[in-house]
Amino acid sequence: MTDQPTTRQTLAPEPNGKTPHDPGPPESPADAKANRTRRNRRYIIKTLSTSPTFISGAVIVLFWVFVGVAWQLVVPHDPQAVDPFHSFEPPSSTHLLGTDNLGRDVLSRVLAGAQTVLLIAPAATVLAVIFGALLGLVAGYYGGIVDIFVMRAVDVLMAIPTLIVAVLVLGILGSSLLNVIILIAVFFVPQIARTVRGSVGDEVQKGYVEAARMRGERGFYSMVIEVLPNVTSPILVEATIRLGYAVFTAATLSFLGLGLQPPSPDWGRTISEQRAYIEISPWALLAPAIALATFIVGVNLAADGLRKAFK
Amino acid sequence: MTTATQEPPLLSVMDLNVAYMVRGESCPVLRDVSLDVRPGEALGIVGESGSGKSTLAFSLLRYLPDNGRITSGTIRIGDVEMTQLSHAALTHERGNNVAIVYQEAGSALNPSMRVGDQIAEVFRFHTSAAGDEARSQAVEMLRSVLLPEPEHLARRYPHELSGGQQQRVVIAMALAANPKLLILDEPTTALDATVEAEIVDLIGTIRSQSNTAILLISHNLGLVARICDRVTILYSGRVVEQGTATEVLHAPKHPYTRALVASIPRFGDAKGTRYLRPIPGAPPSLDTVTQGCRFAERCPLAQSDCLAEEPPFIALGEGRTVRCYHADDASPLPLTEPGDEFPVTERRPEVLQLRNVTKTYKKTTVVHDLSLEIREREIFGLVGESGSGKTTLARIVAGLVEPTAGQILLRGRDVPRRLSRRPRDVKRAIQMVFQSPDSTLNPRHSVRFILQRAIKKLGSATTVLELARRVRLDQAQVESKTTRLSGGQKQRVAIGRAFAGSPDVVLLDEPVSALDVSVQASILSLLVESRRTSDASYVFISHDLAVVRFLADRIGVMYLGWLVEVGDAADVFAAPHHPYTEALVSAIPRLRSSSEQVSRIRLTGPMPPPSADQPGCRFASRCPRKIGSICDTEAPPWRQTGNGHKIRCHISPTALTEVQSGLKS
Ligand SMILES: Nc1ncnc2c1ncn2[C@@H]1O[C@H](COP(=O)(O)OP(=O)(O)OP(=O)(O)O)[C@@H](O)[C@H]1O
Ligand code: SF4
Ligand code: SF4
Ligand SMILES: [Mg+2]
Repeated sequence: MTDQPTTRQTLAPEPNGKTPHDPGPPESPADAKANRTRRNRRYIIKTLSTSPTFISGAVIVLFWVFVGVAWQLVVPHDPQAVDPFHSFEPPSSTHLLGTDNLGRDVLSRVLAGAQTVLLIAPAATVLAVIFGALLGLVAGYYGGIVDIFVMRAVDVLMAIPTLIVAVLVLGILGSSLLNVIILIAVFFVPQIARTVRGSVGDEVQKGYVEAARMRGERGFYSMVIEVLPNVTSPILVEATIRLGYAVFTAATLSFLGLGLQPPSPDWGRTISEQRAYIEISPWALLAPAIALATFIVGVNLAADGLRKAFK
Repeated sequence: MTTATQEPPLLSVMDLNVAYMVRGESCPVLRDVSLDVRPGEALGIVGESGSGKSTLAFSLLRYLPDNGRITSGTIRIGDVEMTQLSHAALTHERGNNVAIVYQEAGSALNPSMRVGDQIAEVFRFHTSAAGDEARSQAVEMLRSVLLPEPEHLARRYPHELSGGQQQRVVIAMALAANPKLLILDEPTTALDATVEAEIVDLIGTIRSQSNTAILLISHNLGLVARICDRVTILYSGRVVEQGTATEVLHAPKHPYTRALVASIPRFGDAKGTRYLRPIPGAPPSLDTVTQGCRFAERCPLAQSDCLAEEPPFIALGEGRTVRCYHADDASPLPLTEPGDEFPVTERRPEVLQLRNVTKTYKKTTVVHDLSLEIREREIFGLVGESGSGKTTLARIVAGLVEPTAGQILLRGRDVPRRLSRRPRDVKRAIQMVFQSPDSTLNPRHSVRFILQRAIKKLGSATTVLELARRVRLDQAQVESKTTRLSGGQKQRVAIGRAFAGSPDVVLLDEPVSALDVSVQASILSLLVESRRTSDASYVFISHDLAVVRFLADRIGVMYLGWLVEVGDAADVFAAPHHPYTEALVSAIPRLRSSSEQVSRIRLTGPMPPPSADQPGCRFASRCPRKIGSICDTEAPPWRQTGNGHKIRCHISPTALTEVQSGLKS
């Protein structure tokens, strides 16, 4: 006997974790305790609002969102204004974070640089979530051959080495904001499809979905009206995790010169540009790097908080 | 106060108060609970869900969840005061003097460890036994919980055992440390009737062989009657009645106990002869402060004095106490009219016919060549142990599972196997109510939405409110989200949904198994009543034979995918019946305690692997009445006994009657 009661904590965990498409054993006894699981909105809000992880993450993300939207109002200088006489200046009261090789204000460029990441990452994530969720819903709801087909396709997509393909595709098609967004979205679809497929598989076993089928609802109705509202939590959690990756991927692509073209103050691009001057003006490299890091950490903290709240 | 009190109690709980911290506030869960268990005695704790039974069990060993706290009172086990113990002393105490068995045995076992090793571990931990010695002791332990071939079984992993075997392994683990007190929290709730009966037997054996005292927590009054010497009734965290099992269950004094006893179908009760009286209302929630009697709101005998002050314990006799001002009020509880029961004596036309339905998964035959008719407006009960294929059969009829072979006819017309091929009218005609109240309704929708949608798709003239009224839901419940509803209310919505399009056949798969006894009663009486307003036939699946007997007009018995007996409920429950049915029926716990218990038939042999499509009778490996090799080699024929009752056995009905009635009297 262990020290802890091994079973049956009073607030019971999730009911049966049957694997999807497992036909039997069909007769399982009463899972009477399940009704204690309270996953109502109030509980989630309460957990989130008392979670230091989520709050600090959310504060960081909101800060960058605000900057990305309103950078014109907060930048001290024009981020593109070149000033050859004041290049490589260390931080001072006029240039709080110094200037770069062309004498541009580093702080202003970092603030302005938030914009592209904030455009690319969420747009790519939203796209990926829409298509990934759709695939996951269809695969999980219909099961059988549809499921096998979709999930095989997803596996293939997952096996593709992302960066190499990105270099090829963007090299051929040319790099534009839209292309970058679509590319990142395509990379993220498989993971989201898998997560959603898993949750949908659990839901489809439940009586309410079977009742919908028995009263003759169409597949699309059942998926969207019955199943989808019950898998929003995992989708939301997955989306926030992907958002963090999307920021990173976007930065990587522009670091490799596959993102936006100069003179965009984009963080990845700037880091790559300023690498050459690391000995002369480390601030010009560090500032966007730290900005990028804080944003990714912020997104991940928020994602972590969300995941715990939805558990 | 004579004999009983001479021995000092093994467990003595005095004025125990336990509270849970909920949103920063302390909610009392147990109030002034006092009880004693003497060495070798079995005490039953009975109460509805949420009454604090588990909390009591947890606090005895101080296993309370983090937010639970013993606020006052004492718990003595032997000479040890549990509330004062240090952590280390507590661990010692838990291991050596008290053991606890939780519900859902499977999850108490480590899935990746052989069961023998798991028990040996306990020996190693609590005695000085090591290595081989511990292992052989483990095997002995498995033998002592009456498991067949213990040497072989010890080498198996938990998932290779059935639910009942797992439960016994857990009990073996609990007994390994040779505890003085064994606490069992709902030890059989998840198990089949026959397995439950085996566990009951086992507990009896343990008690006769060792002097282990038992604290049995259950909401199953029949089980408690069978095992326990004394009973404590818990209501909303308070002890309301205490006494010997016979006194409390046969001559209950507290209105709550009386209502509880009146709400369960007893062995042999049928809907035509008895009315199940649900207890109206629900227990007050934890944070409700009441001044007077906690039961007053639901009590039919309540008077003004009940509201003024909580009643004290009133001693009625030796060891018998009741917490009620009016316990001596013998006036019968006001009963609702039983209503005139719909007579089903005449043979009505058949609505649903199954012809040679078979379902095979890979090599396993779950339903074997099954033919059956359901008549108009009849309640057809389907019984059998877990794994017998009841649910699969219902799902085939519902179109959720495609049969491998066979035909389904609805009023003589062929029903497509696949749900998507079924015309709208067939979908309307065949509806289903699922087992788990928690997943049967979409948690994101309101009751109104669900009923509205069902009416729209299944097409009938009723309105949401009309439908809700029929299943006794009020306006507020109709507007609320389904997550706000209790299990019983959810099941009502599910029933309402199934009745939205005036169906011909409603399949009910264990609709009350997950519910508390008093709530069960209200759902069962709702089903009985619905028949007066609807033409539907029911197929009612349950492993609770008393419930099926109560509700069903006809009964079908399944064993490992085979239908072995069909007939009118009364016929199936009396000799002659199939040897398997006989065993099932004898396993039903009777509320009448020990004296009236019939001798029970034990099924000992191993279950054949479901894949083995061997010739002969499926039941042969366990059949106590097996007549010889013919049972192993030749499939038994159907034998008619008249009145539509038929039995699939090599023994003739006359011979069956002889042996079976011989045993009964
Ligand atoms: N950790 C907890 N925090 C707050 N309240 C709790 C906690 N555990 C249980 N409760 C509440 O305490 C009351 C008693 O619960 P308990 O589990 O002891 O009841 P029970 O009689 O064992 O019920 P059941 O028959 O459902 O097992 C219930 O109202 C329950 O909701
Ligand atoms: S004290 Fe009054 S309200 Fe309470 S159970 Fe007795 S009669 Fe009913
Ligand atoms: S056929 Fe034989 S084994 Fe089967 S139930 Fe009858 S007697 Fe028992
Ligand atoms: Mg409990």
